[in-house]
Formats: sequence, structure tokens, C-alpha cells
Amino acid sequence: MFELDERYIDGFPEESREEVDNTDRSFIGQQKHEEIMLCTRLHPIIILPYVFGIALITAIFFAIVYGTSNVIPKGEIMGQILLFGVFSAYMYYLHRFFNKLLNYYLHVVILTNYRVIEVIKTVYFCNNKDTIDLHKIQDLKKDQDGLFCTIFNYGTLVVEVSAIHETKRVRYLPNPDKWFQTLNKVKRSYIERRRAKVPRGGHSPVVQSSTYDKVGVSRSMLHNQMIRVL
Amino acid sequence: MLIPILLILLALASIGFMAVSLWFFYKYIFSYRLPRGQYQLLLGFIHLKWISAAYVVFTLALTIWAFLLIL
Repeated sequence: MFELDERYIDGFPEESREEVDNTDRSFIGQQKHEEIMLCTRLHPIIILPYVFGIALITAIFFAIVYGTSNVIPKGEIMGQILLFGVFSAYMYYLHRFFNKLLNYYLHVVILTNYRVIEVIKTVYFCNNKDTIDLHKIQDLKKDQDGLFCTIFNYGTLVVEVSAIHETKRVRYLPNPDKWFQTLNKVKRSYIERRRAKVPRGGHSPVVQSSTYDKVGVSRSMLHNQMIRVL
Repeated sequence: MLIPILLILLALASIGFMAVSLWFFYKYIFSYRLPRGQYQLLLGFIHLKWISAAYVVFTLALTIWAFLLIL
């Protein structure tokens, strides 16, 4: 888990606004003035089933290999076929296990000064991004039910989104208390800034959205309408 | 004769898959770096390079062992 940079809670330092260009720095689609405030991978408990699985399969693999080598003499065609099959299966599980570990490192949850982003990336097949803008968050809930959740300090962050009555759940989030508190602070700060119409270094915080872009409505217009309503 | 050929194909496929996986992985994480100063290790002590090294070692060791045991 990354620590929160307190400078960004109540505002944005001028020097970082002007000098730093964060475009695509830490994830695809990061905006120029978008700063990462909290970032985490999911709790390592999610890889525990894979560790137990590979341990079990390794035990079975060694039992078969040594059992076969004791019973079938070396060079026997049936023994070769059996061992080839066993090695093939074990290699498959080995690659699967290590790819799960690599995928674990690529799946991150990020809180920036504009939005909450879940980057669901795998080595080969998946490259998804789930984003919620801070001004759309209506309600926040933290679920931490169960013995393991309490002992290992992980939980589910439930984000209720306004207008579309949708909820976004981030499961297996480590240190959910910190996320809950920080997200509330950042959201409040963001809304206050928008209400006060304070420009960030002279730049409009336009966040790209394919949905809005398709219908030709810019995000800044929606921001302004929301501010008027508030 | 069939088993050695299949074994060579399996070894090539396995090592190739490992190499491509690690290449894709490192290409992505070097392109989009998260703030390194606040990086937390897996379970507090497992470095990412250890996992990559273990992947390479286990794949190569298993391949060599398969050749020694089967042929």
C-alpha cells in the first residue's frame, strides 16, 4: 500500500501543477495533472489458494514420478509415455501458477485526485479499467465481515454511484479503513474545490470519458452543470 | 523416437511461454511505473525479481529433469 501524500488533501502545490506532466505515467489514461494519492494491490490472501494448489500438485507429481521410476524400468516405452504426460501436466500447472502471481502484481486499485480506478490487467488476455469520478460518488461503505477479514485486515469497499444507481465493489482491499477515510477526505476536498470554482493551475480538469465523448458532451460542461445544481 | 521429439517440443513451448510472459510483464511494469518509494513487497518480504527468477529456474530445472528422467 502506498502512503497518502498529505499535500494533496487540501489543495495542490503550485510547483507540481506547473512542472510535472503525469500523462500515462503510472497507468494508461492518466491525465496530465492527475496525481496518485493512494495505490494498492489486492490483499495477498487471494493468491493463497494457488499456493496450496501448486503444493498439492507438486506432491502428487513427485509421488507419481518416483513411484513410476521404481516400478517401470528406464527406457520402457510405457514409462516414457506416462512420465511425459505427468511432466506436461506439471509444466502446465507451473506456468499457470506463476502467471497468476504475475497477474496479481498487475491488478491495482488507485485513488487519484480525480477518480478511483481499478486496473484489471493480466499478462495476456485482460486489460480492463474501471473508473469512478469522485464527483459521482454518492455513498461509501466498508464491509469487513468475518474472522479472516479482521485478522488479516482486508475488506470490501462499496462505492455507490449517483444517477445510475450502480455500486462498485472493490473486494480484498487491504487496509480498508485507510481507504475509506482517505476517499471521503479526497472526495470532500474535490467537491469543495469544484464548488469554489478554483482552477487548477489554469487547467480545466477534463477527464476523458469514452461514453461522453461519443455523444459529444465534454466532461467540463457536465462539471459546470453539477456545480450549478449544487 | 516420438517421445524425444515431443519432449523437445514441450521444452521449447515451455521456455518460450515463460520468456514471453516475463517480457510482456516487465514491458508493462516498466512502461507504467507506480511510485517506487512507497512500494510494498508481497507479504512484506518477497521481491518481484525473486518471483521472476523462481519462474525461470523452475521452468529450466523441470525441463532438464524431464530430459534426464525420460530419455
